[in-house]
Amino acid sequence: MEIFLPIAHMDVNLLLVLAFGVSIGFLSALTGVGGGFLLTPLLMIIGVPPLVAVGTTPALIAGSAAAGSHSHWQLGNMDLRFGLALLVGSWSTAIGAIYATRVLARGGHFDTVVVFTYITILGTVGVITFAESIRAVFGRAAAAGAPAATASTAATASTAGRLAWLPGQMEFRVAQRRMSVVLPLLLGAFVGVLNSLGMGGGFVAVPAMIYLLRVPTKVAIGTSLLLMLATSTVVSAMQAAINHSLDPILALTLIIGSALGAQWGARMSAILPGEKLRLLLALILLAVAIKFLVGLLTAPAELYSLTGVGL
Amino acid sequence: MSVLRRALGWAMFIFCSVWWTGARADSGLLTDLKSSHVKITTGFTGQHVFVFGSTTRSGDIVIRVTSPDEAQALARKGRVGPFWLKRGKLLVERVPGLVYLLSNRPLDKIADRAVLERHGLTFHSTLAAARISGDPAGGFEHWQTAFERLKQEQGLFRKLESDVRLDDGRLFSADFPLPAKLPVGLYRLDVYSFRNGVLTARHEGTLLVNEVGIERWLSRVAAQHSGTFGVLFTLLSVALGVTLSMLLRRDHGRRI
Repeated sequence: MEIFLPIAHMDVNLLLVLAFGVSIGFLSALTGVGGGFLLTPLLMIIGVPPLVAVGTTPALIAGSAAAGSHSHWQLGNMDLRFGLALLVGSWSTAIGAIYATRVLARGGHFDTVVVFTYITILGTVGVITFAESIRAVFGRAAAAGAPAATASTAATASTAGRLAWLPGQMEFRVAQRRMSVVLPLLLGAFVGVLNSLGMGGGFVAVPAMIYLLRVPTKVAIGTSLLLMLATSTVVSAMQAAINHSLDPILALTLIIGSALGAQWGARMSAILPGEKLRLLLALILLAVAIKFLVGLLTAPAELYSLTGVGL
Repeated sequence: MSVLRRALGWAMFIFCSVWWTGARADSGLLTDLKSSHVKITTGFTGQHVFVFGSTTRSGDIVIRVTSPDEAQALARKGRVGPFWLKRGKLLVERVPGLVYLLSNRPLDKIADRAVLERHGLTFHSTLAAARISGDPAGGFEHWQTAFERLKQEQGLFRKLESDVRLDDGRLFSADFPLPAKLPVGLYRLDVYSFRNGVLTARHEGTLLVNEVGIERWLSRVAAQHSGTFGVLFTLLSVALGVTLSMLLRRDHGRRI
């Protein structure tokens, strides 16, 4: 069942796009990882132009983050002061990155930048998740993880201690931490770049808050959802306004699919083993990264490519 | 089905012939379209266009369908260290996004190449009129060959050399498919009549290809009011995300 996408100017299989949405919603409900960084490359693989794939994903992230933010707000899991510092960082770089996208797309270099960024990010996250889930699946009973965890805690504690000289030290009440405002600003800035490339950024923000900034897990998740909602909303609106790259039909199909998948995932999460699912996610991430890498390393059958200039 | 379509086409042709009362009889060529509007809707997967007409003198018929000119970027990959990356880009302007050449037999049997070139009835002559800018030195010496090959792969440059049907030498019709991904705008439909390799008559027509309904509205709003569209659509996405999540959760609660 084909459907015509008015901005991408192509027809795609409706059921396939819906299935992408369901899978992303399902995976994010099960693993706690947003899935934007997986969705954008999947859309590119089925032929959606990189600019449209990158420009449409933030609308989906905004929709799903809004659903999650609502319940975390009610539970009081958001540190607004911390969130604001993150947002100042993410908005600044995201807006800059969207304008950079325009320049890169006109010069014909956007695809290359996107592919290299995705190989790096998917590869890194894939390897880390793979290593962690292997440890969790096979070494849970061995208790070998305990000394490693202690060592890493000691390392982060000393890292945090080393950063005490930074200016703008302030109290983040809900996060139960005192630290320099520069740290959330920098983290936000990194997330802003990822978000404007269609990757969400929650998969970096949550572990960074928990392991590097020592924010309690629930507050990290709640505040990250707020960050995703507020950043993706601005990025989505700007991608449409500046780069004309938000495809409404594609976005709506994905949002509906993702909402269905998320409910299904939430039900399944009680039954399925989390570590094995994270292992599966890691393998998917590595497979996509390897596919892009192989594409860059092998001599193409066709050296030339033809694209419209308007997009 | 095709018999029905043909019969309908001929009925319309007779109607048009009477209606036009020989207004263009001096050109010796009469043509019309079963429908002069290709409507791109949400379920658009390409469409067949039916052209028909008559000529006063028997001979060969060539139909050239062209979409409006559009700027295209032709990029070339090259090796940078271990990677294959885009290394050069050529901007090609003043070339139609789509060029279809339809005829009743192979074009090289209808007229000499020079004659066909003069009337723009080869891809080569279409590309010869292009304006190029960018980086012609970086491996773009034979850009026309690559451009033509890629356009043919996309189904936007096509030669359909047996798609024009001649009936009794003077009536003709053609039924050709337009692809799902095609340029929009007012297409030109030029019909040429040849006899013994010489052009005897020519007739120009148009074909409108555009989005209709929600597709037209969406693409127009997204292009002309992109800021408002971006803000409103994003808010809609947020609202939809929250609503769906609440609805589905409630449903889930009831079932359990």
